[in-house]
Amino acid sequence: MQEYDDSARLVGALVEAYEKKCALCLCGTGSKKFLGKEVKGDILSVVEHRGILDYRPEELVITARAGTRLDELSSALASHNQFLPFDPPQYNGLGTLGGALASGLSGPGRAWLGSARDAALGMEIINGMGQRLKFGGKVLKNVAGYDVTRLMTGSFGTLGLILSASVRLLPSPVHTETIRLELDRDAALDYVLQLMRSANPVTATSHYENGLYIRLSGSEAGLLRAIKKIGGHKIENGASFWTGIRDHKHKFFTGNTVWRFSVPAAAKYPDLPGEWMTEWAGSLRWLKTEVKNKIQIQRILLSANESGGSVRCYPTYSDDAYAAQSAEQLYISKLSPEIMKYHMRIKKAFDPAGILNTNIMYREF
Amino acid sequence: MISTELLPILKSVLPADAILTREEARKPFESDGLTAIKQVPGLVLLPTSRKQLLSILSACRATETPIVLRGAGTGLSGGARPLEDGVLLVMSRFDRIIEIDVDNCIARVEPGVRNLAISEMAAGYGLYYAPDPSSQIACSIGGNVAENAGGVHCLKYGLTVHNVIGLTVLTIEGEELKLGGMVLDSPGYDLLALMIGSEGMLGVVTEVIVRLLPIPPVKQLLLGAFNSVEQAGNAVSRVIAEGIIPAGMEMMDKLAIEAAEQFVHAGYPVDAQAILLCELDGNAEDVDVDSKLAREVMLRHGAYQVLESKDNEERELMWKGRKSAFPAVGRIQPDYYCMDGTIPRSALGRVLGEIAALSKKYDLAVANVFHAGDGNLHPLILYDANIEGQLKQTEEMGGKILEYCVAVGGTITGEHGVGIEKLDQMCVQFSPLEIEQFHRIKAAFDEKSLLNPGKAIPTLSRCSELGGMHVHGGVLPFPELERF
Repeated sequence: MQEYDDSARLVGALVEAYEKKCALCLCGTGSKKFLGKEVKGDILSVVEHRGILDYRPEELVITARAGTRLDELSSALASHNQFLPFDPPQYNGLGTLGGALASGLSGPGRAWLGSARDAALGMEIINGMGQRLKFGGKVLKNVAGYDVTRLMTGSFGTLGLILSASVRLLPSPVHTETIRLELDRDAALDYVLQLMRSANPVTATSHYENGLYIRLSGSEAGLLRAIKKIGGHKIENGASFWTGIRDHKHKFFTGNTVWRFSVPAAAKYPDLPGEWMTEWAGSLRWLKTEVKNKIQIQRILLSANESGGSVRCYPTYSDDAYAAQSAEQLYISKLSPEIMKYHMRIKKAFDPAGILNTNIMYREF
Repeated sequence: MISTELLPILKSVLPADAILTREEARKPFESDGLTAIKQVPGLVLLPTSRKQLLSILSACRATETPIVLRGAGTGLSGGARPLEDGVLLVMSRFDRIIEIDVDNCIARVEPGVRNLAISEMAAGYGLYYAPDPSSQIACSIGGNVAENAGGVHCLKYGLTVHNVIGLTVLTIEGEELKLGGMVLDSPGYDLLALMIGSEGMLGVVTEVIVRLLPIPPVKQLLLGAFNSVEQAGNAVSRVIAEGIIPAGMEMMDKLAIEAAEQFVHAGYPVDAQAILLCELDGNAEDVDVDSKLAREVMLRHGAYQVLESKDNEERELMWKGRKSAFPAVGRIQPDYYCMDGTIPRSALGRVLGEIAALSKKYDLAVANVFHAGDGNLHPLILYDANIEGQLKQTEEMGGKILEYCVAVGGTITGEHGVGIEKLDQMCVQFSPLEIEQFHRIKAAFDEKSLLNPGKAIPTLSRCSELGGMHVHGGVLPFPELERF
């Protein structure tokens, strides 16, 4: 694995940018660039700052520099039968640890194994004034000071540059199986909600067309009993099926732009045209639909709001918006005026000059 | 003193029984669970509605009166220590469970609801709320949110931050913020995570949405007896290195074992220097595999005996000893001081050794009862407040233990919070620039610092005054240790 400490240059660049009030576009390999709006400013790449800083498997924690590639990290963990519980999406396979945390995305196991911010235990960051700061630590239980680590997770580099992070790990399950049940959309939702209310070794669900896919992890005997109870049939290559869902390589994610709904698990499906894929036992739903006008977009935004959740548009590989990277059309549920006010104040508390990844999430900051 | 303008405003908006002005009525609120630090509050308010809360916030803002929030008052770091010139805003009358939504596996509750009451209410549906601080019978969920409370089962089920998915918060400016919801993520910054553990410094929580989990069908408790605390500490790491995530992994040393055994007769081996309580839960098959392996690992790593709970009754009894350990220790010595550092598990043996050395140096006995699985230590320093100067000695020794926790890569507080108690140690764990960043976060929500002022984050001048204490002649404490 490549190791290099690029922190002095990164700190220097932020100090200089702050002094000159020069906007910066912080980035990793750009594997998730399609999720953000256009950032104006000099590109400051974190990819050279890489390498594992501390890994003792019995602690179930790894600390690594932000530019460490996720595939390298995963293989280091796999050699000790461990993995990143939030299973970050990698899309084109080039993602870094820093990028995974800055975007705060989690894979198919999120409802059972926790999210990126759940796993984030500590970070070293550079804020918008070029100050190098450490928050959190390497232990699960830690309540000293405000939880800056989790605030940074999912903030897309707008509050600071992540230099390194400590994340929680889990032991890899001894056995994993994926089964498929033939169920329509509404019956599948009822069924997964029922699964959530009883103890089952479920670690992922996905529904598409008339197939409900369920991942089970645990002891061999436990899985045998669960499969007997749930029924359905085992599928081959379960692991690649789930990475396909995670990285949007599944055939669902081709063609039109998809819309990502984060809603209460039991929310009724809104009456919208298009195809659905549902993950996280109902809490995460993707809608693929052809959008022709603003009224349709308003309907999508409104229906997410009415379900008590949110939605954002998510370009696919074959989408024009993906190719154009960061088009203006990246619709996302609005923040309420009060929430927006505190976003802007928090932004100012970390980046008073407003120079870091401005506009990437919302145009207001 | 409380501003003279404040009381007439409050009397016009609150019923008489929601305002406590007489000293004898205010006195019971002089401290939280950290009883060594006391201050009778200037005024105690017990509102019952959102409208009353908004009026209180507005009146305090207008008169620049500081507000200290209090839940059930079980906190152990003085976070709810009142102010003489401030109001104590007691949230205990917000005690409604608004709904248990079985389809979504959530409970929506007001902040004054007791932690255990949620699980009791959900039990009828086969569900429960996982975080279980040992005060769960009394502590409120609002207080749990303020402290990011933990408990025995964090290693597997996480802290409050992992189990609360939505909050409604009133800011000091009177806005209502809906953070998170019945959802697993929301757009924008994770203000929900920022609010959890913020010790009443950023806003007033008025509603909490928690995730409920299915009650595990099988629970099995193992008790490993060891001839030394180091061996027991090492066995904790070995069990986890085998790929087992115990639901709970607790350790008690000889003093704690003896005290607990005399108190509740849990059947603990009193000849042991340390015991490990290792609970496994889940479906029968997984528990069976894991408990066999955990047993074998403990025996391989120095346990001379491993007992197993035969049924739920025996399991409850074995837990009872652990859960009564604090009061049991309280029977041996009039007072004890409970610490709360967290360290990497692999440093357990080293840190316990250092605690033993400090105990000898200060001539103060220490009982160790703690969440070994997540490295969260609760050394109980035994002292007698009636002996002149002994509390001061105890606090100094406690401070040294926490500084050692930081030096081995840990933290000064795992679940009790900083409050007023650990302000000095914050200066050890964080640099002045980091502390300034904390103050800027505080100012983003509460510019005039009216919410719980002076708690959780020390002023820089406090840290610089302490500077001389921690760095002697340019040498850091414990120079032999690697810095992380």
